[in-house]
Amino acid sequence: MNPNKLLMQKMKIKQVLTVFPFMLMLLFSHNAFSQIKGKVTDVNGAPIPGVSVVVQGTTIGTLTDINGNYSLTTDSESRILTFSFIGMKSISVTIAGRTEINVTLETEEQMIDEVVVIGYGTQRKESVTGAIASTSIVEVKRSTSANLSTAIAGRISGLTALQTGGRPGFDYSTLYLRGAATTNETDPLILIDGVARENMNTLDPAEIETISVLKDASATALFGVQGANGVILINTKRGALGKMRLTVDAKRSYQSFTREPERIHSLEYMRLRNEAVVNDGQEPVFTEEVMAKYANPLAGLDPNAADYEEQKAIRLYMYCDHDWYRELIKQFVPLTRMNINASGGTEKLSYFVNASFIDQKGNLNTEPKSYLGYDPSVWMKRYSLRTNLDFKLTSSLKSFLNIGTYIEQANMPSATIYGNDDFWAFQDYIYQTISMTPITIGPVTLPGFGVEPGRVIDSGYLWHSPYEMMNRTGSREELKGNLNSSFGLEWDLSNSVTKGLSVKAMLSFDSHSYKSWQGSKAEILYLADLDYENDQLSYSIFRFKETTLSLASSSMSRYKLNSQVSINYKNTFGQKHDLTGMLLAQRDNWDTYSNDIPFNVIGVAGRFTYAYDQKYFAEVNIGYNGSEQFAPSKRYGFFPAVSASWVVSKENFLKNNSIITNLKLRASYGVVGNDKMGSARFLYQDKITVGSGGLGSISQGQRINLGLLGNPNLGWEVAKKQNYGVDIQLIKSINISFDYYFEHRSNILITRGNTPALQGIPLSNVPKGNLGIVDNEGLEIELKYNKMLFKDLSLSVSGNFGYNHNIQVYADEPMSDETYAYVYRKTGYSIGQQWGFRIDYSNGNGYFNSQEELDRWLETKTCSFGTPRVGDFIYKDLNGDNVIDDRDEAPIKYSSIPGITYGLTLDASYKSFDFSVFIQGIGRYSGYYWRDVVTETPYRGTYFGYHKTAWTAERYAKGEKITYPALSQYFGYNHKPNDFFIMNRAFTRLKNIELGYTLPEGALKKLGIQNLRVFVSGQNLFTWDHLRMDHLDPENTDMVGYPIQKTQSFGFNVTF
Amino acid sequence: MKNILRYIALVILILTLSNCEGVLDEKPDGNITMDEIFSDNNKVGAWLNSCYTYIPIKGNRYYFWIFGPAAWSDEGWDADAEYNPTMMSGRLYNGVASASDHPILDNPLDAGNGDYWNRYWAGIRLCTIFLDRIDDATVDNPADRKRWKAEAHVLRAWYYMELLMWFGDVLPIEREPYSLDEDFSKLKRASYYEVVKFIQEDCNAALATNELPWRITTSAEGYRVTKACAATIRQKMMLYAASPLNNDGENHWEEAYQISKESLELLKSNGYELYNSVSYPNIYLSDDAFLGPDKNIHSAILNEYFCTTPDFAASPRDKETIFHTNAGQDYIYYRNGIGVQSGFRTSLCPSQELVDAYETIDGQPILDLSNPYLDEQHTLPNYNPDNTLYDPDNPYENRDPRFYASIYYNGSKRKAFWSFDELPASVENYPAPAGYRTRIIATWVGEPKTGTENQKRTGCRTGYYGRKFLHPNSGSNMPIAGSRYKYFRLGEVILDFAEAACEAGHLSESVEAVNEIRRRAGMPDLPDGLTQDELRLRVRNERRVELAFEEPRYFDLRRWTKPGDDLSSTHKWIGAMEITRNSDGTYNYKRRPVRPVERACYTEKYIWLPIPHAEANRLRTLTGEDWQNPGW
Repeated sequence: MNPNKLLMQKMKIKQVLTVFPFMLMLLFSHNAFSQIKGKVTDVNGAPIPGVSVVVQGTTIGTLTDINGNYSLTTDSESRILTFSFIGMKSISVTIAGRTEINVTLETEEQMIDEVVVIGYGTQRKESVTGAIASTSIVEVKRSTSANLSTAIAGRISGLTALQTGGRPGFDYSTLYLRGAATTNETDPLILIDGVARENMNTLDPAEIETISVLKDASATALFGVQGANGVILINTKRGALGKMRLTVDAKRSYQSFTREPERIHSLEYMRLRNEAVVNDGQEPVFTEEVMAKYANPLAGLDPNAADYEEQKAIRLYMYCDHDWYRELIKQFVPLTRMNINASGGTEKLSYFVNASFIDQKGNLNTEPKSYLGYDPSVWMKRYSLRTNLDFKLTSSLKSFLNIGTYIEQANMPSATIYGNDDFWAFQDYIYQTISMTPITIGPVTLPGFGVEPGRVIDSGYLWHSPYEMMNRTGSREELKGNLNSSFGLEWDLSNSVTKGLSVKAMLSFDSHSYKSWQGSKAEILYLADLDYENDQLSYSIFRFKETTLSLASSSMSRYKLNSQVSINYKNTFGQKHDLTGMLLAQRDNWDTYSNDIPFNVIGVAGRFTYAYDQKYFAEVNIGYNGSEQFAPSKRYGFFPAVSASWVVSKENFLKNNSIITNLKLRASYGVVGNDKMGSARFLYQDKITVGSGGLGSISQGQRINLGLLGNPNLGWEVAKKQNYGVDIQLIKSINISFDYYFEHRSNILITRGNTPALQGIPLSNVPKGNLGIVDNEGLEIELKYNKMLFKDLSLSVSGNFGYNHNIQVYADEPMSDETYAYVYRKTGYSIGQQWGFRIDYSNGNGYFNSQEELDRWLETKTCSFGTPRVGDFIYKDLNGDNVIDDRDEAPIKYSSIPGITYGLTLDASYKSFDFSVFIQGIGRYSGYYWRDVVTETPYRGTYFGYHKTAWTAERYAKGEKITYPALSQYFGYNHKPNDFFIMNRAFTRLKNIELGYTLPEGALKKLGIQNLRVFVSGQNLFTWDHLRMDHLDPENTDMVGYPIQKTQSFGFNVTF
Repeated sequence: MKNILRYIALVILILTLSNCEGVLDEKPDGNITMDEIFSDNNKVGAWLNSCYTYIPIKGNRYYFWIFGPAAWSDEGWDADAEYNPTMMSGRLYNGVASASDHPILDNPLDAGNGDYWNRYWAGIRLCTIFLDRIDDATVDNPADRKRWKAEAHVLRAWYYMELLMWFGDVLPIEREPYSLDEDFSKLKRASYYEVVKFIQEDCNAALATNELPWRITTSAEGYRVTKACAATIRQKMMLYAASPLNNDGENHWEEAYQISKESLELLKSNGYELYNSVSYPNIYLSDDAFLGPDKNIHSAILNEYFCTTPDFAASPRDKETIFHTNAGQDYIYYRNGIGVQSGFRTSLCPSQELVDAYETIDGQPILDLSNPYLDEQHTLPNYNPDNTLYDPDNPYENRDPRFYASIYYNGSKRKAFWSFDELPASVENYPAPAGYRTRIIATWVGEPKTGTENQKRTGCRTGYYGRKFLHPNSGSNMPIAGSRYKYFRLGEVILDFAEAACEAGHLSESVEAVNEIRRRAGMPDLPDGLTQDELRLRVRNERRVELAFEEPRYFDLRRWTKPGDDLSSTHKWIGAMEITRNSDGTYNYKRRPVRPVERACYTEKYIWLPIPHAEANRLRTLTGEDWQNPGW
C-alpha cells in the first residue's frame, strides 16, 4: 500500500476524531411541531435553574433558566419529557397534548436509586451487599492537588492517604485500604475504566465520573489473587444524551510550605552552638569578641572614608546573618490549572471530551536562565486529553472507545551528582539548605579578593553547597507520556437468544514513556576564609574540577495489554425474583521500565445475584485466577465470597415509619488472595545465573551468581474477610452507615526466622515460606445529612471515620532471651509498631536536672550507648539489670501506619453563594524523627525553634519551659528512638475551605454563558498536631524531603 | 455489517481465551541448576570465582573511606567522628552500638567490610560446596582441578580466620555444606583452638598441593591465592590461638612457635624477603619528598613500599608482599590526608600514644613500655629514664625513620598542590599563593589551615596527620591514587614469629627476628640480655610501630587482654599534642585527650563483635544455648 495514502487515512481519522464533537453540534437542529413551556420548582416552591429537560427518544432538550422556566418545541405530542437535576429525583412526564407542564422535583434524599460502581459493573445502591464506599467527584475537584491520590485523602471511609511530599509531580500519597493486613505490599489494586492501571495520580478530576472503593471480600473476590488489599475503581466520564454541555474551569493558586523552620540569626546560632559545646565539656567555640563582630559588623569602620560603602558591604558579607532558607526557598509559587470539557450525545453517539492543563512551579529559588544560560528552575507542566465515545452500531450492538493521554514535563536542576536520582537530589537541596549556618559566607565570591566575582563558595562543611547544587550544576528535564486506550463492544442478545443476556468484549492498550535530558557541568569551588583578628577575608580553592555543560539523555518505554470478555445476564421473574449473572475472562500483559520479563495475569471472574422482592439480597462472587509467582501446580486459585443483605425497612413493621426511613443489614464472608510480594518474581524457581566480574584467569572471569532459592510449594497469601454493615436513614435526611470487619490473613510470605545465617545462604535468598499470620479488624462510620433549611439556605454535612487495628499473630520470629524486657518485636504487635526507650518522667520532666541526680543514677546504672550528662533524658531500666541497652526497648506509641482516618465536610449554599469546609485527620500514627532535620547535631549545629529552649541549668532553675534535652554536638544518647523522638503524628487539618459565588444569569446570557461561578479557596491552611517541633508537617512521610504545600487559590467555572 | 461486527466480537473472544496455556510460565532467563554448574568446566571455575568474592578490600575502604580498625584502636582518631557522629567511628566513640545495630557490622557494606557474619558464612558455604563436589565435577585440565581445590581450601581458611578475628570462638566447624533442612539444633560451637586446627587442615591441604604456586608471577593470574597465603594464615591463627584471650588456659606457644618458624622458613626459601631498597629515588629520595628531617633512605624505603602497588613477576620488585587486595584505596591525599590540602577531609589523625611509641634513633623507647602513662587520660608520660635523646620541647627530633615515613607532625614539610592562598596568621607559610609548593605542616592551635582544633572535617584533632600511605607529592595537580592494601606481608610474619618465639622462650630467635625488621627500618638492634618480659614489651612495641595503621593493632590489643579484661588502658582515652606557638617562634607542647569525653568503645563487649542479634536469637532458640559474645 502506498505509505502516503496510509498516512492520509490516518490523518483523516485523526481529523474526524478531533472535530467530531463540534460536528455534533450541528445535529441539533430540528423541525418543530409542538411548543411546550413550564416551570420547575422544588418542594418549597423555589424555582430550580439549570434543570435538564429532555424529550425522550430525541436529541431535543433544554435547561431551565434562573426562574426555573423552560420552553422547547417537540416533534410529537406523545413524547415523554424527562426532568433531571443533580441531587434531585428525575421525573418523566408524558406530554399528552399539554402545552404547559410544571413539575416539582424532590431532593434525592433516599439515595435509593443511586448507582454504585462495583467490580466489572454497576449495581443499584439498594442491592449492594458488600462494603463499598465512594466519593463525590465534586468534592475531589475542590482540591488543588495535582495528584488524585492526595486529593481523595479523607474523602472515603476506610481509605487512608498519606502524602509523601510536596514536590511538583511527586506529591502523591501512599494509600492504605483498611490499614495493613500483611507485611508484604499493602497497595490496593487500582482499576481505571476496568483495567488495572498505574496512572491514577495523573488523572484529572474533571475527567472522572466516580471513584469507588471495594473493601470486603464480596466486592473483591472477583479479583482473586490480586484482591486482598482492596480495590479502587475509577471510571471516567461518558457523554449522555442531550445538548452539548461545555464547561471551562480555571484556577490559579499560590503554594507555600505548610511548615517552615524558624529563622535562627547569627548571634542566636553562635549562642546555641556554644551552649552545645559547653554542655559537652568544652570551651565555647565563639568567643565574646567574635560574637561582638557579628553583633556589630561595621565596628571600626570610618563612615567618612572614601571606600566606606565598599568596606561596609565587605563587612556585612563577612560577618553575615544569612537566612539561607528564605534565600534558597521561595515562599509562594504559582500553580495554574485549566480545564475544558464538552459532553453530550445523540441516539447514535455520545461523547465526552476533556482537555486539561496544569502548570506548577517549585519552590527552589534558582537563578534565572538569563544569568545561567540554562534553566534549573523547578516546574511541572501536564497536558491531558481524554475522549470517551459511545457509538451505537445497531440496535443491539454498542461500541465504545476511550482514549486518555497526557504528557508531563518536569524541569529541575541536574541530578548527575546524585546518580540521576532526583528524589535524593531534592531531599538534599532541602536538607542542606536547612543545615546551613547563618554565619556561612556566600553563596558567591565578592569582587576584589583575587577571585572572579560570582564564583561559587562551598560552605566547607556540608556535603555540597545547596546553592551550587541548585544553580551551578546544570539542569534536567523529564518528559513522561502516557496513553490509555480501550475499545469495546457490547452485544445485547435479548432478542436473538434470551431476554437480559448480553456479551461484552474490551481490548485495552496502554503505553508509557519516559525521557530525560540532562545538562551537567561543574564549576571551580572556593572556600571563604575569615581571619577574625585582622577582619580579613580570603578565598581558597576547594575543588578544581571544572567542566562545561554536557548533555545526556535517556529514554524508556513500557506497555500494557488487557483483554476482557464477559457474558452478562439480568432478568426478573414473576415480578419478585431478580436474577443477575456475570462471567468474565481476562488477560493482562505488561512490562515495566526495568529490565524484566513481561508480567502476566490471567483469570476468570463471576458474580451471581438474587433478590427477592427488593427486600432480600444474596450474592456470590468468585474469582479464579493465576499468578506467575508460583509453580504450575500451585498457580491457580479459586476465591469465593458470599454475601447477603436484608432491607428491614421494607418489612411491614417498619414500613412508613417516619423516623427510621431506611434500614438495611449487610453481611459478607469470603476468601481473597495477594500475590504482591516485593520485587522478586517466579518465586518457585532457583535464581542461579552465570555472570562476569571474577578473576580473569579462571573461566574467563565468569562467576556464578546465586540468587533467591525457589520454593515450589509457595502459594499466595490468603485473606479471609468478614464484613458486617448496617445502613440507616433517619427522618429521610440523615444517612448513617456502619461497618465492622475482621480479616484473618494467613500464608503471608515471609523470610524464615529460624534458619541461622551461618548455614551460608544469605537469608534474603533462603526460600521464603507462607508462614506469617496477621489479624486485622476495624470499623467504619459514614454519615450524611442533607437538608434544605430555609428557602435559600441548604446545608449538607458528611463525615467518615475509620478505625483499624492489626496484630501480627505469627511472624516466625526468634525470641530474644528473657533479659529483654520484650522478647518479641513483631509477634503480638501491629505492623510498623515503633520501638524505643522509655523516658522516666517520675522527677517531673524526664531530664537529669542536677549533677547530684545524675550521680545518684550513675551509682547504680550504666548505659551501653553513652554516659548521660546533666540535662539528658533519664531512661527507664525496664528489665532491671541496671544497664540501659537494647534490652530495655519497649513499644512506644503507635505504628507507622495510621490506625484512625477521618474526614468531615460541610457544604452550605445561600442564594448565589456556596461555601464548603473540609476537615481531615489521621490518628494512632507515630514515627521516629531521627534524621538530621530534627536534631541539633548535624555539621556545625543545626538549630530549630525548639532548640532555643533546650535544657540548661539556668532555664531549669528559673522554672522555664523546657522543650529539648541539653544540646550536644554529638548524635547519641539523647537521640535514640525514645518517648521524645518517637512522636505522635496524629493531626487534624483544614484540608479545604472554599467560598463560591454564582453570577446572575441574565448578565452573561449574551455571551452564551449559562452559568458562571467564581470562587476563592484554601487548602491545608491550618494543621493541628502533636509534634514537638513546629517546622515539619506531620503528614510528610518523607521527613527530610520536599515539604507538603498549602495553597491559596481563586478561579472560575463557566458552563456554556 | 452485523455479521462483521459479530466476527470482530468473536475474534476478540478467541484472542482473549486462547493461548492461555503457559502464559504464566517464566520465559527463558538463563537460570541454571547446581548440577549444570558442576558438569561444565567453565562453570566449575566460575563457582571458584564466586568463592573469591568475599575477600574484603580493607585499608581505607571501610565505610566511608576510612582506615577503620586503625581509627577504632589506639592508633588514631577519626576526624569524621565530630563531623558526622552517625558514621562508624562517631558511633563507636559514642558507644552507639548494640547487637541489633552495630556500626562495624551494620554500616553500609563497603568493599566487603561490614556484615561480616553473613558475609563470611556465605563464602565458607561456597568453598565447602566446591570442595564437596570438585572431585566429581567436570574439569578439563587435571592440574586445574588440583589447584582450584587447593585455592578453595585457602579461601575457606581465610574466611574462618576473619570470623575468628572479629567474633571469637562462636563458630561451628563446617566440613560438609549445610542443607536447609539440616537439624540446626545440633549446631555446636567449636573452641578457638579447634577452629584454628581446622584452618590449619585447610592450609596444610593447600601446602601439599604441587599445582598451587608460591607466588603469582603474571598479572593475568593476579589476585589468586597461593601457598604463601596458606603458610601465613596457618601461623597467624596459631599465634592468635595461643594468645592470652583465646588460649582457654592452655599453653600453645610452642606449637605456635613451631608452625610460625616452619612457615617463615618456607616463605623465605620460596623467594619472599623484606622490601629493602628504593626503586624510585627521584620521588622518594628527592628533595621534595621530605622523608625524615634529613633525607633518610629507611624512611624512603618504607614510604615507597606503602605508596606503591606490588607487582606480579617471577622476581618482582616487591618480594615482601604475600597478598594484596584487588582494588585500590582511591586518592589518599583527598580522603585521608591533610584535609585542608584539597579541602575535603582529614580522616585519621595519628594518636599521641602512637607517636610516643616510636623510639629515638638510638633504639631507646621514650616511655616506660610497661607503664607508659602515669594517669588514666595519658597526659602524664612516664619517661624511660635510659632515654637521653628525647627532648619534650623538641619531641620530633631523632626519631625512628618509620616515624618520618608515617606521620606529618608540627614542623614537617610537604610539597604538594595547596588549594589556598596563605593567610597572615599562618606565620610559617605566609605569604604564598595557591599552587604546587612546599608547605610547613604547622599543627599548633590557632594555625588557620593545619592547626589542631575539634570541629572541622579538614581539621587536625591530635596534632598529627597520617602519611604512611600518602604519596609525598600527590594532590589535585597530581592525583596519585593510594596503593592496594597489603593483606599479608613478610614483615608481619616475621613479627608473628618473633612474638611466638618470645612467648615460647626462644628468646634469641625472637630478638633476631625483631632485629631483622629493625635493620630494614634503620634502627639499631635490640639490646642484649632482655628478659622474656622485657622482650615481650619490645616485640609488642615493634609490632605497633612497624604495622601501624595496617590493622593488626586492633586485633593485637584484643588478643593480648586476658578473659574478662577490658580495653580501658588503650581505648578509653586517646591523646593529642596541644601545641601552642610563642611569639618568638618556639612551641609549647602539652598532652591532652583529643576530647574531654571518654571514648565509649573500651568496655569488655568491644573486644568482640556481637553476633547479629537476630542470629543470636535464632541460635539460642535452635540449640538452647546462648551463643552471644559477652556484653552484647
